Amino acid sequence: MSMSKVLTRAIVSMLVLAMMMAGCSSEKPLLKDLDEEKEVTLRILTNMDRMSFRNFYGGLFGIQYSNIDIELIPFDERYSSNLDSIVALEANISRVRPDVVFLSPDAYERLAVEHKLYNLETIIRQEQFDVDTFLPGLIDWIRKKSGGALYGLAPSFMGKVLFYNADLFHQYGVELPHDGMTWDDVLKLAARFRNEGSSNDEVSGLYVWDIEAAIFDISMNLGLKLVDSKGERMLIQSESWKRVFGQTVEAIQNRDIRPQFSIANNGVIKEERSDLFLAGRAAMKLDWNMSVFSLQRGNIQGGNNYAFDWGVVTAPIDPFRPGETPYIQIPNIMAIPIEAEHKREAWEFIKFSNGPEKVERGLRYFPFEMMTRGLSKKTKDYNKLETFYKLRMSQDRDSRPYPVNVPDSFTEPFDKLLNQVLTRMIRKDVTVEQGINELDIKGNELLKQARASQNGGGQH
Amino acid sequence: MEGANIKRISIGLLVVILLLMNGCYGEKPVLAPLKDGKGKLRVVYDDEDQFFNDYGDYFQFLYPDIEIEVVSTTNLFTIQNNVMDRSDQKMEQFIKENKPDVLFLNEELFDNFLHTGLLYSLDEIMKQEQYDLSGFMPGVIESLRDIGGGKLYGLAPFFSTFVLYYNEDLFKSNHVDLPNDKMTWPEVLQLAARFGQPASEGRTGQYGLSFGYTNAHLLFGEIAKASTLQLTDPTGSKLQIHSDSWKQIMIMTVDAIRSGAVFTDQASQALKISGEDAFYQDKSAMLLTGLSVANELERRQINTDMKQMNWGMVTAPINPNYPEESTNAHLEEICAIPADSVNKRAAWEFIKFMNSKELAKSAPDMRPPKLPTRMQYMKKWKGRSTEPLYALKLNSHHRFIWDNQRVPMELNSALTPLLRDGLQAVLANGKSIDELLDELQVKGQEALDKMKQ
Repeated sequence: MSMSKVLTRAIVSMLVLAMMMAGCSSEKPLLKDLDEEKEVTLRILTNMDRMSFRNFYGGLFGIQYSNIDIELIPFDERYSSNLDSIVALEANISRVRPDVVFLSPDAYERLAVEHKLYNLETIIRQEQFDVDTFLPGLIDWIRKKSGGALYGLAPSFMGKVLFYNADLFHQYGVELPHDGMTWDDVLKLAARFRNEGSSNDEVSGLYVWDIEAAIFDISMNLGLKLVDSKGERMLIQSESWKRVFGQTVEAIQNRDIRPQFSIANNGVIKEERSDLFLAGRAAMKLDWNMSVFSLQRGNIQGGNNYAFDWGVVTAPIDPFRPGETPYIQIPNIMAIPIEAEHKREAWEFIKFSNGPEKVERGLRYFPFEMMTRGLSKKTKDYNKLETFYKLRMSQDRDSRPYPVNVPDSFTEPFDKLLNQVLTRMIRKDVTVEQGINELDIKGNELLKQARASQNGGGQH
Repeated sequence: MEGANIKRISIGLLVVILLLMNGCYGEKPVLAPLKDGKGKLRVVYDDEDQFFNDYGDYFQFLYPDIEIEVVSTTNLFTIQNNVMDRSDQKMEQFIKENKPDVLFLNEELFDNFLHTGLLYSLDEIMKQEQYDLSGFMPGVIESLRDIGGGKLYGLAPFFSTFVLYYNEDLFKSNHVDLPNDKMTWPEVLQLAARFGQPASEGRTGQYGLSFGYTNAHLLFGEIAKASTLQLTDPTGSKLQIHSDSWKQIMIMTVDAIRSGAVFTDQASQALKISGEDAFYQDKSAMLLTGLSVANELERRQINTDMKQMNWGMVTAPINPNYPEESTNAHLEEICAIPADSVNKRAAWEFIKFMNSKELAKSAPDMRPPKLPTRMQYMKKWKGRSTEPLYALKLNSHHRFIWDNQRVPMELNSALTPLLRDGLQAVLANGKSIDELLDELQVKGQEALDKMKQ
């Protein structure tokens, strides 16, 4: 043991010497080297449950670093708005003093701006930690959130791609979808599946969860927002929004798009029994990576096996920004609070959790999240799953139609209203223009009410 | 440059010396090392995904070149007439057909496999590698050796046990002293009686003790298990359940339920909650059950919209005849290598990994949570001290009321329905305890006679 210690020290001092000789500034190592003999308890504040934490991060880390114990400090962020939960999180951090925190992107942004996080740029440079092989655009996106420097790393993401049923495409003699289609292309392709089947075996071109989802899927791709960044005013009165509504309503009327939830003529909510795409009754769907899991498992639903030949292409793109995609969500950014006691161990944890070894030798499959570091070659359906990494993550567009400071007291009633108005548009009770006018007026009222009740609601 | 040379030479020397030392004894490795870390492993486990999730992925992180194949346990038994066929033939056939390298066995199966001589003894390799057996909780290695007739044919990384959870707030507000480790059943029931206020019209009720289940006969069984009673005479042919001592336990059970000390079916139906919920909702002061409840308790502590509870744990009630031993602890995943395995080195590496500190550390966060037998690595369980979890010795040789090998285990399945229905009739006030014991004695004896024929 002491032999190897002597060796390590000798190597380290030689390295230091070499660095000094090379003139690369007589920089002192930023963080003391890890003492592998020392038992340390690393305190990690996270919103993950223990089991997921073990499966995704803690288990392997414990095997690699046998003398670092992890104390998980679970944090449940169930608050009426995103903003409230960030405030509660900040209070929690000063109270429990964790060494590592898992932050939502919004929380990360705020804590970094308030200088409450440890800047990782220097240690990354000193240790030449590779930040070039992450999901394209991710590192720039994190840096941008925190004003230029990197204060955290995000090991996982959720992404949407366009899934297709190759069997149905062959059956209908339609050429297969390809990467980099626009929404117009996708809707045109969906229209090729119009048919005269009875409602039970009818096939549609594109399956969506509900009508609003279709609207938001298309609008986010164009960077459209429903509410301005201050959370004060509706932005729905625009030609672009009109086009999105018009296009979607028409596609639903033509049954090119089929939602899982729809409202029947008598006003009753109708729910399809299952995901129509997974049941082999829709040619395409834009969906999150979780769907891969169902498809790989032979796609069994309600006791029926719907296995079919499936494929994926990139999510639709904005023709003005063909290389990027807004259909990516980052659940967590791992960061070190500026006052953390065990910064070296915390950095080792973040480095390991975001490192390439974990991908190559790590867990066999993430059902819910994918690793930003890439895919193991051993991954099942490797060629298909590569699609998730093809487009660069959009720097300024995300999947949220509302800004962070809009409270749930607006979004919940507005989503309901949106569904009602959309249904009337589809039934041609109102024109698209009339519908948008109504959403604009009532939406602005709802915003005003929500803000008033928030301001009058006292402090948390 | 010179320094590096000296280092290289000294390492070389060290290696030579070590090799020589080894050579002095002329000792050949018991198991040949893996070539370039490459190997294969065929493992028998219930569910492939669960195997990789809990163990396999982590082992492969350390040994990326060992290929693992999982054979599902469902092939291990054929179930006929609700009885598993565990004959020696079946075991042999299973090994022949599946050629496994690692088996995960419960105590009973481990015993079965040993009877057939199908397992590989780990003593030699452990001796050569000076494998450290210290730090296992008391009773684990002894029990395994006991089953193996002195030899160690397997190692068990985890065990399951019951603990007595208590709601500290309820104890304090009722001015009752907190429970202790190693209480007997009469002591626990006395404590529980201090809370007893059965639910009735207009009253929500308060109970002293609830369980993961709510059947009266299971409570009776737990109490009997931790008593000094025997079911039969020493010859195993004469049932002696209609005796004063059995009657005493029956009275204890019935009184505890009637007084509201213990939460059972009637209470559960009245309040429409389970025994666990009764504890979570402050309706019961103690809960006797397995370890995963601690997860739920912790979850409730974290969630801001649920009431916080100050809870603690002590050992489950003990048998006064064996006050240092647990009546509930079991080894469930004894890892063993079949004698015919062609990949014994890889299998041994795997068994060492299964019993390592590295895997033990995250075992409480597996689903279901697992408690490592290596107690030295586990100081906390869901934020509480692990002391009560390791306070009682694990034993595999005492089966308490079933200690007498002459009593067939099948007697249990004959008595259970009689006891279940009978106790219900007693609690509904239609039947006397004497009547019930009489019925058990007569019908039980009939069943026993049949078994003995």
